[in-house]
Amino acid sequence: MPPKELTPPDQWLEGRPKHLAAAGALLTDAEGRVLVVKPNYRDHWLFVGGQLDEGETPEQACRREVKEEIGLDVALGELLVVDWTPPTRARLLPLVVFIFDGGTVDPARIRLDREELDEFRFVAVAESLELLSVNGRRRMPVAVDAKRTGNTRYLSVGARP
Amino acid sequence: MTQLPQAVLDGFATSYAVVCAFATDPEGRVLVVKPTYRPEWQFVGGMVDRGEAPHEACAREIKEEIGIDLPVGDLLLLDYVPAHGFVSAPMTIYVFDCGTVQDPAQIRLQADEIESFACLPTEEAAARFHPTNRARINLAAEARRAGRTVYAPHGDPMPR
Repeated sequence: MPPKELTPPDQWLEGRPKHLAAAGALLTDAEGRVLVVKPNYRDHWLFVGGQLDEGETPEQACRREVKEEIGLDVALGELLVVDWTPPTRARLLPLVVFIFDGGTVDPARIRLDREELDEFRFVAVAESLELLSVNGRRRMPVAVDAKRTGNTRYLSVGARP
Repeated sequence: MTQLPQAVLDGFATSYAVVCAFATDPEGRVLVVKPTYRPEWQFVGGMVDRGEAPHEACAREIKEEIGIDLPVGDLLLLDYVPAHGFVSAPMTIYVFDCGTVQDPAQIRLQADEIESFACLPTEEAAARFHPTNRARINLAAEARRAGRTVYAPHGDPMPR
């Protein structure tokens, strides 16, 4: 017997809140130092990565951003971090950030996207914390730990709920 | 932080966030519910509301739909479904480990949205799900056993 008054599928989602999504990569050099990049449009340093374009999955966006920003094709490993952040005054929607293990790269092969980025550095985790944004600072140690232990971390505003 | 121009933000994809509770009874059977508004069964769960983080939405949906509190624990499965058909934007689906329902007899269903619940072996539960969502039951059960999170865009575990 068909259930009565089923909501048409196209109305399930009407008016429901949406959010932005971004994907970044934890990339290291052979000595285990982490890669951070300095965009020319921000004061702080960032993970390599960026926002998802229409039609992309998080890992597709991550690989595209790595290719665009540092000129390398990388095979992504585990999803390391899922971090949900509420809206801010500058960003009116919530943002979820996915960080994937991008593995080890050879610094000599990096070709930086000079249109958007001024510089890249491989640094110790402690040093990265002095360069990264507030959000990046919270995510980096979690990402490094997740890579070490093999456990993805779900965070809400950088912290384990 | 420098504010990004709205024109820049407009180019980015926005998505819906959906949360699901993976809970089992003391015998390890999976808790699933039959909503009034669609023909297939599903996990307890729903969409993230304004001002909520996914784990908070999951706790709220559990309380609303089955009238009990369950602890929202580890993220078991993250699925990312691109826009398709009537789904006009991508959906990020979070399946959380919500532990064990010690006494299913205490469940009180949200009458206008949920018409029944059942605790079923994984294959029976999967058979009642929409085909698109079926894989999530075994993936979540496996993730709980292994103590890890599975990233499975389109319901497929990411190839390594």
